[in-house]
Amino acid sequence: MANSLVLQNVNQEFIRTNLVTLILALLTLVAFVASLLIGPAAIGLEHTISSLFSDRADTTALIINEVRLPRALLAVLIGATLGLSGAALQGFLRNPLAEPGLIGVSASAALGAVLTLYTGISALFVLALPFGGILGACIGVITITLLAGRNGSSITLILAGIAVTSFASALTALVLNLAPNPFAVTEIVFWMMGSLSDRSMTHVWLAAPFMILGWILLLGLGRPLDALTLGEETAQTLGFNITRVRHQVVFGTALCVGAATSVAGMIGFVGLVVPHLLRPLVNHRPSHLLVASAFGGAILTLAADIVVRLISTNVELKLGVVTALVGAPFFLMLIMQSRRQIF
Amino acid sequence: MTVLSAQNVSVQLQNKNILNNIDLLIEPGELIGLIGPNGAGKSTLLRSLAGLISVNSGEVLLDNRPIQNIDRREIAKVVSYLPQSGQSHWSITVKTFVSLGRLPHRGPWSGLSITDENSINRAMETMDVAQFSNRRTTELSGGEFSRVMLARVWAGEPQVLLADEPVSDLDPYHMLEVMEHLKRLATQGAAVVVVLHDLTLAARFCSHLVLLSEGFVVKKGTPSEVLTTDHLADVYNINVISGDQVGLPYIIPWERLDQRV
Repeated sequence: MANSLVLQNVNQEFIRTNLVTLILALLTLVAFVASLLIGPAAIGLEHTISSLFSDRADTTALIINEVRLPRALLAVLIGATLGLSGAALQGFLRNPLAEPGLIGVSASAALGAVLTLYTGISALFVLALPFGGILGACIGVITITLLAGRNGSSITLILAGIAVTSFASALTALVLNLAPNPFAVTEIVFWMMGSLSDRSMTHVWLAAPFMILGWILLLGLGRPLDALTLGEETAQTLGFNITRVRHQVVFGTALCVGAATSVAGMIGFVGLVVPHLLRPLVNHRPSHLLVASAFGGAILTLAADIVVRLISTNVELKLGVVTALVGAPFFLMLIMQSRRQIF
Repeated sequence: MTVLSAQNVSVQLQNKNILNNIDLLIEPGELIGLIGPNGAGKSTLLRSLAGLISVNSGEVLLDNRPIQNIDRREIAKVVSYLPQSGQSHWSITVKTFVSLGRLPHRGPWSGLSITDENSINRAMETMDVAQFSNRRTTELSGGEFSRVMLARVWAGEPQVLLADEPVSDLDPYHMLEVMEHLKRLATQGAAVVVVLHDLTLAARFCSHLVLLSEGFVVKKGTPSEVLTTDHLADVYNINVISGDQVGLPYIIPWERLDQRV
């Protein structure tokens, strides 16, 4: 009797987790379609779909295939990257305040990408830009895990994040400072603000393979992240090699966040907000949070990008600006909530 | 049957000698109590035995193989470790927490098998935590959480259990209960090493005791060989009251020797 009751509970948790994932997947699909439909030119569902699956070259097909499709695809790819890497970093560092933007990974990736732009390497071969972003992100994550990976204290993590972010930003500023061409500077600054507008399918193909590779590494972290709930030493005695897990976190995050930042600039707070909102829905289990946060990140980024398009200003708002405007107060609220644990 | 041993183990941490030339053989069926004052090296010895710290000289052997050469997962299947101040970083349910003890036994992508389920349920029943299996680990009292941590270790059905002060947060009822369970686990063929501060529990439940002081083994043997008035005076600097109650020993720390009038 008692046995069957407990079994039932497990099944309930299993069903609930899968249901959450399914709903999030459906919402991602809805938001993706909405992203294709919404824009200055009114194009109906039927036309949109027929444009996607035909070789027509009229204006409608061009708008859908060349403008909206890459934008929606990038929103899914980048949003999933940010949500997933946020969940993975939080699980690994056992800290709900970890996020690629806050801990300096995005800033380091941006520095790497800016350097390839500045030195002109990006003009030499097309993969230089994502490579630069990935290399920068890699250095950022390694620094963070070395500084704050041990005890998981929030204070250390935030301070380390500030240090890495300021140093990467300072170096980026130095590069901009030394740039001979003011137009290039403006372009780089706008690019860094984070946006999905004016991206083409080339950007999608450029970044997608690295992001997917990074996702595979991060999605494989479920078991060790669950074990890390018990602390680093106990996780080791449960059979996990923490050094190997750390490498998986570092390279997984660097690959996807580096590639994402190099095509879309810095989009902050998605990785913070999404895992936080979804954690209660998956019973606070780090392993179940990974897939859920990937979908959640895609939904949030698609939605934010739609909002950016709907708000009519003379100059289109940058996506990174909008996520920061919403995310920063959210971060503040999180700090207020967890103040007791932090200090 | 798994045999864990320390051979001439010395450990230095931050240039301080924490353990000096420790020899220890842990055989199936034994309940070994590690006792000694604070800072004697009990926890360090336990962590060396778990393969968590690399020893500076000597060797820790698991079935005659140096433990640092064995894959972590392979060690985890037979050796369980319960840290002194365990924690739950996320607010997961008790049931989920206990099920983490099955991680070493599960295939890479498989869910919980019937064997896993049975072990988890048995462990929760044994440690008296089944009635709050759906509560969150972060909402438990210290004693309740201690039992949940023990249940996690229990669910792994280890052949060697290394427990660092598993009863220090428990009320007297659960203290006795946990010691009885540890003893039963040993009787069933496991090797159990447990760090204890309570001398009565050590005298009554352990088959062997190891008395440590400043990183040295002062005395190893049966409780009656180790817990003599002289040893306790030397190592703990205390006088004790001891005796028998229905054939079982008790030892009560009574006065500090340097404060005796």
